[in-house]
Amino acid sequence: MGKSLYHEDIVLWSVEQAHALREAGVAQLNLPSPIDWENVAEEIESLGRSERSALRTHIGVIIEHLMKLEASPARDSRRGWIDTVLRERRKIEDVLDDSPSLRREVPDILVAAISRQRRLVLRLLALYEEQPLTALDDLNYTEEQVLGDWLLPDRRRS
Amino acid sequence: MSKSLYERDIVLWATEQARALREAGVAQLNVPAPIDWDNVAEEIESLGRSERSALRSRLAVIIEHLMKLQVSPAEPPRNDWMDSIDLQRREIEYLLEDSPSLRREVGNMIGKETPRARRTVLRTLTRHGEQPATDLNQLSHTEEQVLGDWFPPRA
Repeated sequence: MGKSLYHEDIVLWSVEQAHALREAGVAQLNLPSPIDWENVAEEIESLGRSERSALRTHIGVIIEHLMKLEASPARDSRRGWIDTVLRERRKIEDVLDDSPSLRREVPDILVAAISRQRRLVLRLLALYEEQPLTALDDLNYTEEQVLGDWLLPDRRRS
Repeated sequence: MSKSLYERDIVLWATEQARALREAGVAQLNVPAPIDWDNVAEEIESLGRSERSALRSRLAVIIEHLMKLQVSPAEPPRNDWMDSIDLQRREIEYLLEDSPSLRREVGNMIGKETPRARRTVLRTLTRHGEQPATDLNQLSHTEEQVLGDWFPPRA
């Protein structure tokens, strides 16, 4: 029930609770003190929204840096990029531990992030006057590549 | 009523609502779908806590930078300290607009942050091999000095 779902999946919990609060709001209960149902529901719902948006941000950062590792000729920043990828993966682990239900949204988030980050990385490379080593449009990543230990295709590992 | 209190003072609203939710939780209400009263109350309460902690950390930055302006012989960072003070004051203005009830806690917070800021500033000066221009322990600031547009005269 609600109590343990809070610890099992905070996103799912927030959706369910917001729903229950709104239902209670129209139910004309005899309350000890007035409850501002709509705003309470809204705030509880926003918990779930911010978890989802954190996941989206972390995935975006990982993809950006995987793309840079693959497409940028720059040598100096590579260690920093790898650090970033690893760090963001750690954060995603935490988010998905708190809300396993978010995992099923990863593929959609991935698709959206890949096309957004292609544009970003292209702009960044242009800004630093670098020629991409591979066409950004060819770069694609699976869920396993983004969330697992993968860093680079073999041809670029050197 | 409550509805508009949410707009008028989010911290006060959060405190009141958390209490109302806990009361409702013990009242064994017949709700259409089960409500996790304690955790909902907890989350609502944490809204107020994070506003309060944002205020405290912004006050701390202002006090620290006012002190640095007063005691540090370093010239180049002065503009940065003043910019940072301006920024924090503006953010605090927004915070207090959202929750005017927090204003009555400002004096207390300044009192608590002052000795901490003295220690931080002393450590920074030491690290840079600087001697404080005045005794840090003599420095304290009024609420008006912290939140208004006051800047200390040059050390």
